[in-house]
Amino acid sequence: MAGYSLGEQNPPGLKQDLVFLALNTLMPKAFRLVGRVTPILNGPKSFTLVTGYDEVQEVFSRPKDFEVPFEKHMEVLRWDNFLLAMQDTPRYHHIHSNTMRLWHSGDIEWIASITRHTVNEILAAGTGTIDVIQDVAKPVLLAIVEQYYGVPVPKDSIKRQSFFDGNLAASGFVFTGPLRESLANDARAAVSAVWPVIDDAMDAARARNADSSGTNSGPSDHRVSVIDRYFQGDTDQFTEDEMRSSLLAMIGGYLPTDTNATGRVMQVLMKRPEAMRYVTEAVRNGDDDQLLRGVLEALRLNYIIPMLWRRAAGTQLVGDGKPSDDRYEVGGNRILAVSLQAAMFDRRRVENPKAYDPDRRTGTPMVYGHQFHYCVGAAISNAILIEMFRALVSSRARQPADKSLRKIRWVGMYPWNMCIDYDVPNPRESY
Amino acid sequence: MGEPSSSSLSSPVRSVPLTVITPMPRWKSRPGWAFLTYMRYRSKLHEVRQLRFIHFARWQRVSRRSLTNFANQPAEADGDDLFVFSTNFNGPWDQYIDTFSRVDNIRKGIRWLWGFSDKFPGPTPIRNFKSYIHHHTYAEQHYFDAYPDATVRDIAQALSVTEGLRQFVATRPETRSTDEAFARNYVEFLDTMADTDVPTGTTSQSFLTALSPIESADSSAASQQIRQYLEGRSPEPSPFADCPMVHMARIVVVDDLKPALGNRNATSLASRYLLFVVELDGSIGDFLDRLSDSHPEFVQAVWGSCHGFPVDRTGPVFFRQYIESCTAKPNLPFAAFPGVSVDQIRCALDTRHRLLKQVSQWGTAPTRAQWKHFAEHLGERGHHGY
Repeated sequence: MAGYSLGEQNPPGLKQDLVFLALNTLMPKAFRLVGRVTPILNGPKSFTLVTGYDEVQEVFSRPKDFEVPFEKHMEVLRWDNFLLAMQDTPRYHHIHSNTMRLWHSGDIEWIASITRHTVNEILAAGTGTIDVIQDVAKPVLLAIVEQYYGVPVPKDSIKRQSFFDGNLAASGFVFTGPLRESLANDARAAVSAVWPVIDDAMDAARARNADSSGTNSGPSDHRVSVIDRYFQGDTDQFTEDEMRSSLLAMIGGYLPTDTNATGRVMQVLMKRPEAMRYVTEAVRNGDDDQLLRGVLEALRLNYIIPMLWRRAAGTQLVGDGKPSDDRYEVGGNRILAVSLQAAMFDRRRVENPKAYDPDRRTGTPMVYGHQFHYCVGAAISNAILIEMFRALVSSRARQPADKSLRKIRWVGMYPWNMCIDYDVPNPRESY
Repeated sequence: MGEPSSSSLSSPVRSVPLTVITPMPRWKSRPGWAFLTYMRYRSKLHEVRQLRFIHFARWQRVSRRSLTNFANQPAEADGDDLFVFSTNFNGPWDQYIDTFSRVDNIRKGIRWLWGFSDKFPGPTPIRNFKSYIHHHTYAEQHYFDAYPDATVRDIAQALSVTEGLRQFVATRPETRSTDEAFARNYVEFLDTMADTDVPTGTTSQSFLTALSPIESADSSAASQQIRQYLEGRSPEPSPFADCPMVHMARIVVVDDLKPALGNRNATSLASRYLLFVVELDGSIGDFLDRLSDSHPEFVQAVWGSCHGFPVDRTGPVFFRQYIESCTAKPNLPFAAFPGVSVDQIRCALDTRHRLLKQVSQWGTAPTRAQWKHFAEHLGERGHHGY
């Protein structure tokens, strides 16, 4: 049986080129242009565009006034309690706090070591030219899912790709915007490649831990995976349904965004010599903070998604703290396209926004969101990005010498294939 | 209220704040603004800088009409505008005011600067001038200074020493062939160190002045509460200490604009206001974010009951938007050390302290090894990278 394949459904060609042009070039530019004129634009068909730095922050800081409009998406995906689709309710905070307890910051070093080990192994086994997305990011991210989360991903390459693609497609479906029936069937197919893997992992972990003798599923360090930790009673207030849902949230929230981020950061490093110089210096100095600043600044310049969605619960005034005349009215039930991407280029707050300046002093970077629904896996993601880019940069990642390999293939918003040349490291030096 | 605080009258060293708000008749207000704007771009306030006892100062005309008007807040009637002068200085208050009257160029400047204020008697005779300043002085409910024990002269000397040291270290004197050769260089360095010019920094400095309406003038509960909160927390460290970009900050409750002595027709302000004055490095927005993130309870207690303050909101954006709505642009700001950041000043003071201590310990010139050790230690702390 052929699995779900995002790549095959979106073959290279004019259609993909146009989608890429619209999502990655025209839309960000148009949003920034609108943002320079007005931070909030009430458009036709109950649609409002929010592009100002302050206004974007305010919308995300008022979750009860600006709700998350993904109820129907969740029905299609048969997914209850997905954190990023939940409103600001006690239930949301219950799920959020338990998720944070299970995926906690004490695991960062473990995540870093899985990433380091996997990426170094991949680079050492390579030939000097590699696809950063399919051959580096994907295996690294799946290794984290398997070893740290404790969710075994099928070894069969088609099923493995289906699981990966299913996550990306489900995430794309949710964040593409108001529900379109034409996309719903595809989303159902996508998520059906993901749920069985999670259910199997839950069944296996339940059985494994039934006698409370859960063992590690990590490499050789006797650490207990998240799923085993759960069945060993680490959060007794979390039902199995909630755990199942959180697993998908943490996989479906993290695989697509980190894949996307890896490709986009690498694209900036390839295009901007000053960016590559900065991260190279960070790696040479062994300064992880500097490296992370460099990576996140690249991500600010080439953000993963043009906008997120909210819905006004009743008529709202944006500009709390300002006199009435300076506020913007947003009518009830209007759908808001909230552009973090444009906000991070808002000259009212961000000085010289087009410049690559990781040490910039103005404006809080919002690559992980802001306030409500701030990325729950930000620390995990940071650890992965640091390790992955340290390995790539120290191997002198560069544009392929073969010019025919230089073109990046995109599938919608996702960079799909992106080749680089690098110096194959000596395995003895790498580990 | 209205008297300079006791510390400002007696403290010989620590920087003390002075906040003076005088009424500016409306017909003089616009020319006053034009004069301040002219001064900002034409004058570098060299004379004030040469006095070497003012850290920061600002002269600012605030039009009554430009005061922020939130919903449910009484509108301001036509009346005198506000001329705000805020500064901090080292030394006794009397000496400070005397300088304004006695130094020729300063006296001339003062006559012009306050000349637009109602019934300004001029800088001489000095007794009248002092009475005028006394009468229009407002007491600070909270004052923060990032380097409270350093006078302007201390800082100037520290910056010179640090710059001299940086230049000396850059020549790598420890590589001289003998200890004697090194000693000669070292003595030269000590001789010339104090003559090094105070360097100009590159950090952008911002001046925040915000006037937030607390409540209508006929009630006083909220302003009283703010006073009690600020005065009651005085032994605790200032919340501004957690904002590394802040040089100086003050909060003043302005109950009304005091009319000039003898003026019985002055129009009172319709609201009581909270004056928030800060001198800082970098962007005002980032500072406000930092303050509301690190001390939300302070922000809530001080501004929470003011008109228009966003109620029951979480997140720095609301405080930022609120304060920026209440902000008046400073017309004539002055900084003793333009472009030099808080961090650089603290580092320079520390470097000077360490150097003086070391020099006295060494007695005569140190050996090359001793000097190398000292220079490396400073380098590790980033002290001579000014």
